[in-house]
Amino acid sequence: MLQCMAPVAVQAQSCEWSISGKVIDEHDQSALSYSNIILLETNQYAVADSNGYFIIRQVCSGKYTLIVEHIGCTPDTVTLDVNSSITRNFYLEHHEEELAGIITTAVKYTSGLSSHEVDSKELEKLEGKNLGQILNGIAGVNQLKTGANISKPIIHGLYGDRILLVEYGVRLESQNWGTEHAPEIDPLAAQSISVIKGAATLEYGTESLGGMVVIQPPVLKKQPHLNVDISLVGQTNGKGITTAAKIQQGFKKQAAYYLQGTFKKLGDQQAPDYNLSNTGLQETNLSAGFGWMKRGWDLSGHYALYSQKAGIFRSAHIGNLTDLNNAIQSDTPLIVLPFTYDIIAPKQHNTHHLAKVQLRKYFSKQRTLHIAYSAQHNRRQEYDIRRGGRSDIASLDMRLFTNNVLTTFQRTHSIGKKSHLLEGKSGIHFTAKQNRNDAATGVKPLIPDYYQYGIGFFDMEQLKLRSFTLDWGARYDYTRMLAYVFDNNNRLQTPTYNFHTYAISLGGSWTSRQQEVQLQSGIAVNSRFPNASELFSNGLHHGIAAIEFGEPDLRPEKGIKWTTTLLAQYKKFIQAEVTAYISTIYDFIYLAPLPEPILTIRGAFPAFRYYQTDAQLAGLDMTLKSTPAKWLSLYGRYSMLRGKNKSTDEYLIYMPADNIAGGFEWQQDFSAVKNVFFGMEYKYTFEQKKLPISIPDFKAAPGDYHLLGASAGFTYPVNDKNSISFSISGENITNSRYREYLNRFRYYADETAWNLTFRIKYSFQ
Amino acid sequence: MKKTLISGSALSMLLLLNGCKKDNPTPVNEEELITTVQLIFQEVGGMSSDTFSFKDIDGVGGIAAVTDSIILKKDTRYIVQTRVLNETTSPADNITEEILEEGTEHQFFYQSTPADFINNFEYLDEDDNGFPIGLEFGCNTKNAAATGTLRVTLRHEPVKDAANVINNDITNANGETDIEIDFPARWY
Repeated sequence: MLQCMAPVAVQAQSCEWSISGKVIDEHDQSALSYSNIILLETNQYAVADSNGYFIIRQVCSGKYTLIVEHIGCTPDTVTLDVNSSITRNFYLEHHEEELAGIITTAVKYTSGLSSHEVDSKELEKLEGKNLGQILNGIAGVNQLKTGANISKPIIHGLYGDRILLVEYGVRLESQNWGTEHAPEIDPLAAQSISVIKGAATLEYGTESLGGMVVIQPPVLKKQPHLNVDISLVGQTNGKGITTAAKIQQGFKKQAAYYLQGTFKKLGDQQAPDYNLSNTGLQETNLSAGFGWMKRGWDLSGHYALYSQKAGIFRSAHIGNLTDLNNAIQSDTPLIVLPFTYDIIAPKQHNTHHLAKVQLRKYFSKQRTLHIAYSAQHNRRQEYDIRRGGRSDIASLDMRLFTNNVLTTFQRTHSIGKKSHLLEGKSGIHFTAKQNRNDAATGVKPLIPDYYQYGIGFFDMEQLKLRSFTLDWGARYDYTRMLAYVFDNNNRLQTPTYNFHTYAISLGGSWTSRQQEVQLQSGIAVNSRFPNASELFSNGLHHGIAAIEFGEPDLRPEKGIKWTTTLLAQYKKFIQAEVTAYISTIYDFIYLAPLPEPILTIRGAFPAFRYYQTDAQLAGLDMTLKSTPAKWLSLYGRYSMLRGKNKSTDEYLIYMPADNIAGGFEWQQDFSAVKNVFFGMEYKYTFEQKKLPISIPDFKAAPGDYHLLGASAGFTYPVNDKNSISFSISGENITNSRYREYLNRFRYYADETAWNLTFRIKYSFQ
Repeated sequence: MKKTLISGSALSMLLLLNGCKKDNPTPVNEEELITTVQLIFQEVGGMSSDTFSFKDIDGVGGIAAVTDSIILKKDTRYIVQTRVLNETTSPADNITEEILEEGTEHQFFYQSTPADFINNFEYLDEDDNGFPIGLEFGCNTKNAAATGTLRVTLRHEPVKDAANVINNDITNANGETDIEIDFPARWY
C-alpha cells in the first residue's frame, strides 16, 4: 500500500516476498470480510476482500509481527519469519470459550488521510534523538526550538495547542504551558510515531488545526516467550550516553506485559567555534503496561514517568534590552565556560506522570465498547539566576493535574451485498484539570491557577465502497474555566469562561484498480479556545527581553482547512506523494508589539500583547521515492508554506522556511550479517524572507544553510534467538556554522556542531 | 451495559471534580522585586542632602514608573549614596543590604550624557575582594550650567577584573542588568 511510504528510506534487501491468505472465523469457519492485516514493523497493511482474502506485497526478508484485526473480534498477533512468500490462513475468535487472541493497545485511526509514520526500524536508527528531531524528517513538519534541548513539533506552520500529541491513546496536556516547554515524550519507549496532517483527530479534541502526532506504545504480544531489547547509544557532541531496556512477555495467551526504561545524560553541547555553556541534560524515564484478556473483554493499563533536568543556555539569560543588544552584537556568546556535565541555573526540571486503565468489551455483531480513565500529573520547575542565594529556589513551580474519562463505542455494518462497509465510532469525553502554582517561589507566576472542566461528544463514520472511501465526523465540546488571577495590587480576580468549540470533518479517497493512484481530499473545521497563557500572561520573559500581556477577552479561534493528497506509483520504481493544503483561521491568536515600550527598573522594554486576526496558511509537501534496484533506494522531499495576516496583509511571523532534502540508502543482506546499510542525506533550508514588516525583529532572520548527514550499520544474528545490531550516524558532518530562524536562541549562538552517534542494540527472544 | 458504563463514568467524574478542593491561591510575596532606587547627594562641606528617586511601585505594567529630575549645583563635589528598596512591603524591604552582602556579585555603574557632565568619578566602597560595589561614590558636576542624563546601572555577576571595569567603565563588564535607569539632570 502507498500509505507506508516512509520519509526516510525503507530497507531495500530482498523485498519481493508477499504474505497472503484468508481470514476465517475460528468458530464457524466462515470468511471474515474486510479484516485489517498489519505488519507491525513496517506498517505495511492490507484489507481483506469480501471473501476474507488478502495479500501484502513487497515484503522484505526478516522477522515480523503480523496483526490481524476484525471489528468485533479480539485481534490476533502472529510472528512470521519471512524468507519466501507465505500463504496461510488466519483464524480469529469471535465469541468463544477459549480466547486465542492477544491484547493490542494500538491506537487505530481509520481514515487514511495524509498520515506519515516513523516505524520501529526507522526509530531504531534514530535512537537517542528527541521527538522534534525524529519528526523533522517528515515533509511539512518542522521544529520550534528554544536552544539545544527544548523542541516542539510544528505541523503545517502551527504548533503548541494547535497540535494534538497523543500517547497511549491519551492526549498530552502540558501543551498550553508555552513555547519554552518541550513535550514530555520518550521516543525510546515508542513502537512507532505517526503524524496525521488531515482530519481524523476528532476523538481527542476539536483544536487540532495543525494536525496530530500519535505515539504508539509497545504492543502487548500474547506469545508466551520473553523479548528483551537493550540499547546503548553514545554521542560525541555533548559527550552523552543513552541507555534503554525493554522487556515484553506474554502468558498463556491471556495476559501480557512490558517494561521499559531509559536513562540519558548529556554534557554541554558544542557549536563549531565554542562551547554552549549550560546545555547539559539528564533524563530518567520509565514505562510499563499490562493486558489481561477474558472471554469477550480485555483490560489494559499503562504507566509512564518522564523526568528531565535541562540546562538553559547561560548566555541566553539576559537582564534587559541593553544586554540583548550586547549579546546580538557579539559574534560569540558572552559567557563561554569549559565543558561540564553540571547543570546550573538557569535550568528546567520537568516531571510527568501518566496512568491509564482501559476496559474493552466485545459484543456480537462487530461492536466494541471502550472505556478508559487516565490521569496526568505534570510539574514544571524553572530555576533562575537570583539574588540573595535564591537560585536554589524555583522561580516557577507549577503543577497541572488532568483527569480524563473517554468512552467510545465502535461498530461495523455491512451494507447491501456485503461488499460495502460502514464503520463508526462515537464517544463521550470528560476532562477535569487543575493548574496550581507554588507561592513559595517569590515570583509572580507565568500562568495563573485555574480549574477547567469539559465534556465533549463525537461521532466519526467511514463508508468503504469498492474503490471509494468516504468519511465524516463531528465533535462538540463545552469547557468551563475558572481562573484565579492576582492583579497588580495583589487583589484576587476570578474570571470565569464558558467556551463552546466544535469540529467537523468530511473527506474521501479514491484508489485506482491496480492501486497505482490514490487521491485523498478532505475538509476540516476546527476550533480552539484561548489557553491560560494567552488569556493571562503578565510579565517579563527573560530569554527574549520582552514584556508579554495576555488578553482576557480573546475569543476561540476557528479554522477551516482543505487538504488534498495524491499518491502515485509507477512499476515499483517510483512512488510520489504530493499534499497541498489551504486553510483560513478566523480570530487567529498571535503576539504583536504595543506601539510604546514600557519603562521598568531594568530599563525600557518592548511590550507585546495577544491580538486576533484572520490568517491564511497555504502550502505544499512533496515526497518522491525511487527503488531502481533491490538494494538501493533514493528519496527526496520538499515543503513550502506561506502564512498571511489577512487584516494587515502581511506575512505571519515564525513560519518555517522552505526546505528541500534528498538522500539514498544502500541496503543488503549477507549470509553472516543482515541488514547492512549505508545512507546519506542532504538538506537545504532557504532563508526566510517572508517576514512581517510591522513586527520588528531584534536581529535579521538568519541566512540559508546546508546540512549533510550519513549513517551506516549492520545486524549480526548470533543465533535464532539473539541478535546484535551496530550503527553509526553523523549529523552536520561538514561542521557548518548556521542559525535557524525557528530557534528562539538564534540571537545568542550558532546551532550545534557536527555529531557522531554510535548505537549498539542487543535483542533476545 | 453501555448505559451503565457511561453513567458510571459520569459519576466517577463527578466524584473527581468534587475531590478537587477549590482553595483560593495565596498571593506571591515578590522578595526580589525592586520598586525604588534613591540617589542621596551630599555636597562635600555642605550641610543638607538631596534625594532623587525612581519609583515603579507595582512592578512591571500597571501604574507607570515615576523618575525624579536631578537638579544640583554646577562645579560642586558630591558624595552619593545609592539605596535600593522594595516598597510593596511595609516596612519597605531594604535591598541595599542584600546587594552589600553579595558585593562580589554586584556592581553599579554611573554614566552621564554628555560625557563631561560629571567628572572625577571615584568609587568609595569595595567588596571582599577589593573591587568596587558602587553603593557609594564621589563625583564633580560640570563646571558650567548644563542639562543631561545620568544612567544608573546595576549588573549582576559582572566581570569585575575586566579592563577598566573598576574605573566605572561598563563596556567589558558583561553580567546581566538588574537595574537600568536614566535620570534627567540639570546643573545650575
